[in-house]
Amino acid sequence: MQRPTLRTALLLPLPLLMLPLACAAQAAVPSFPAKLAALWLAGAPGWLSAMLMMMAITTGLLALLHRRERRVFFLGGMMICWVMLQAENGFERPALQLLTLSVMVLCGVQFLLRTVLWSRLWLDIALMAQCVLAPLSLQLVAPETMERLVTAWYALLTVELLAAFALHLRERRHSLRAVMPMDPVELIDFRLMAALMGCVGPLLLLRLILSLAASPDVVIAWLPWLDLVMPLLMLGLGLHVVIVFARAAADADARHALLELRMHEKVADAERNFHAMAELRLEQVTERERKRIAADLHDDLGAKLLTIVHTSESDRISTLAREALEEMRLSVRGLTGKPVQLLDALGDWRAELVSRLAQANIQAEWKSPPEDIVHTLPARAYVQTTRIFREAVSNIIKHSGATHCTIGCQVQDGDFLVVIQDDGQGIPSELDGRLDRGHGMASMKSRAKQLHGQCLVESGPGWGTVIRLTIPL
Amino acid sequence: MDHILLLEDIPEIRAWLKVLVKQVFANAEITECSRVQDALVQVNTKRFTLALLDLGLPDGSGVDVIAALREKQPEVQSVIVTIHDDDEHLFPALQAGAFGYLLKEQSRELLVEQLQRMSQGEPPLSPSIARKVIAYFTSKARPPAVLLHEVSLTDRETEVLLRVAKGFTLPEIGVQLGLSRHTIADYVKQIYRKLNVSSRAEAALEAQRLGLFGRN
Repeated sequence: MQRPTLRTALLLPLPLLMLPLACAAQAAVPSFPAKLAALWLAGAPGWLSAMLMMMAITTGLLALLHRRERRVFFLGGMMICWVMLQAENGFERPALQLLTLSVMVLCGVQFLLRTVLWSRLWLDIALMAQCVLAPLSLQLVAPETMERLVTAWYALLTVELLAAFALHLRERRHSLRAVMPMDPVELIDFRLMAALMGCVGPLLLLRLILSLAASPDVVIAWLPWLDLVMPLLMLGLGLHVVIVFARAAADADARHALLELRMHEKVADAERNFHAMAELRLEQVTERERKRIAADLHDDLGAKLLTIVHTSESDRISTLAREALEEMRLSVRGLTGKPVQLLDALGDWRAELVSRLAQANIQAEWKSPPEDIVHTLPARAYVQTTRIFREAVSNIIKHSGATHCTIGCQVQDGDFLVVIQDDGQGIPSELDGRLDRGHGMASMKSRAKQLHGQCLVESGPGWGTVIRLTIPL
Repeated sequence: MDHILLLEDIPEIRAWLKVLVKQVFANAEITECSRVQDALVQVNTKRFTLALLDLGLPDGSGVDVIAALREKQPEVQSVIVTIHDDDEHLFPALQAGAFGYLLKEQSRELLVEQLQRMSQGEPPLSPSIARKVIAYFTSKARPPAVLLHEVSLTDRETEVLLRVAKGFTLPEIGVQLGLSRHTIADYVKQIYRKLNVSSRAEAALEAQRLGLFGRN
């Protein structure tokens, strides 16, 4: 933030450095640089007018398209007035010149004050009155005092302009201090304006003093240079207006992009919510449906199967009905059950299988994995694994003739591994290689496959059977 | 002499239960009911030693009868005989004060053995029920006032529950903890009793709280 001030501080003495050049231009023997300066000075009004016209049109267009920046028309007006003044210089019509000058000052003051949002009705009326009064006053006065009146009006107008500078800067400083921390953009603007008016103000004052008090020689020497100050001020103000507009456009773009981003986020959020809601809804509905099916099964099917269990005279039918009931119960569990902690499932299996084996006089040894596994089994996997376990143990009880059985469970690389080993007679070799339904091997293997795992059976007469079950978690 | 209440709505099964009971308690007098209302009337008029209750009846749940028995004849052992083996059905019955449960479809021999064990003071405890009991007693959501009734589990009882949850059978637990099977069974009875007391206290608190709100 320090650099603009330094730069503008350096700019200040530059116009002052140009003045000796102007003096040299008036020396008795004109040197080459002096001639150059004189030439340049002679043409200055021309190209300055062109630049100002261009700038007036540019800013006028900007103001036209931007409803809130109508004040910029005043700047355009000021520029056009100056151009007209240059054109009128040839003709000696002091009234016209004074009129143009007052209009120029009106535009300048209004522009400067409205930029800082300072507008008063009395000022508007006063300025407009001045525009009418100034040329009028010249008509009412005798020709001798006319020159002095002109000078007096000119002094007044200059003072008004300087007052406008001061007010403008004061208002800017107020609004800058009003917000803490300071807006960097506003700070830059303030410093630019301060620098511009800091240069122009004193020079205008100097011009006034010279035109009032100095000798005609000095006036003729210095005035043309000092006259360049006003157009430069206007150019500066015009460029500033363009900068402000450009900034606003960039701001609008950034804000638009941000808005779009926000909107995207909101839309994505809404979509996500909608999906979550829809999923929740679906879950609730299916849950309700499952519960209904489970209840129906229990009440109707279960009751009937139970009746068969207890009223059938055939043991075999009773057993079959009992197994059907157990199967039904498991299926219902698979339908409605929630995922089960692996540790809990292992507890269930252990309790059931060890007691069944013990009842069949088979010594059972169960090896559990360490306590730190936190995996869960989905309900269906739990149910299917339960069936595999039951099938395996039923085989051991019914067919193997074993006296000792070891069941080892562990979790390895995200898979649940079970090894069931018995010391029975093994699967007879004639059945080896052919999946025998009676021994339930086929169903065990297919169940394991359904769970994306596998079930391997190794057996041999004399050294028992080993079942290796792998289920991914 | 034993006086046994039988509550079951399906006639064939009720007949079968009667046979079962006669096998275990040869000289018992058996009162049969097929509806909850009848059973409640019976509870009010007669004194029982054992009750075998179904859960799903046409006019209500056996849990109501359990609660009534606990209130009026607390020395009666209420046993649920049900087709449901899932803890969601059994746990509320246990909370209401059931002594134990039998699964209907098991073989006669097995049921006889279980009933005999229960009459000797050994209620059954499955791993899933044990898990639910542990969860119940360790849940932080319970109001602290309930704890004043001394219904938290002792360390020993928690040990037993944990081992049951892991799948060890009662004899195995006895071996592991160096206790007799009978002692373990006593622990299980205590656990059920505490469950019942705690649940009733909680229910009373809840009713009181609702009543307070209701009065406003």
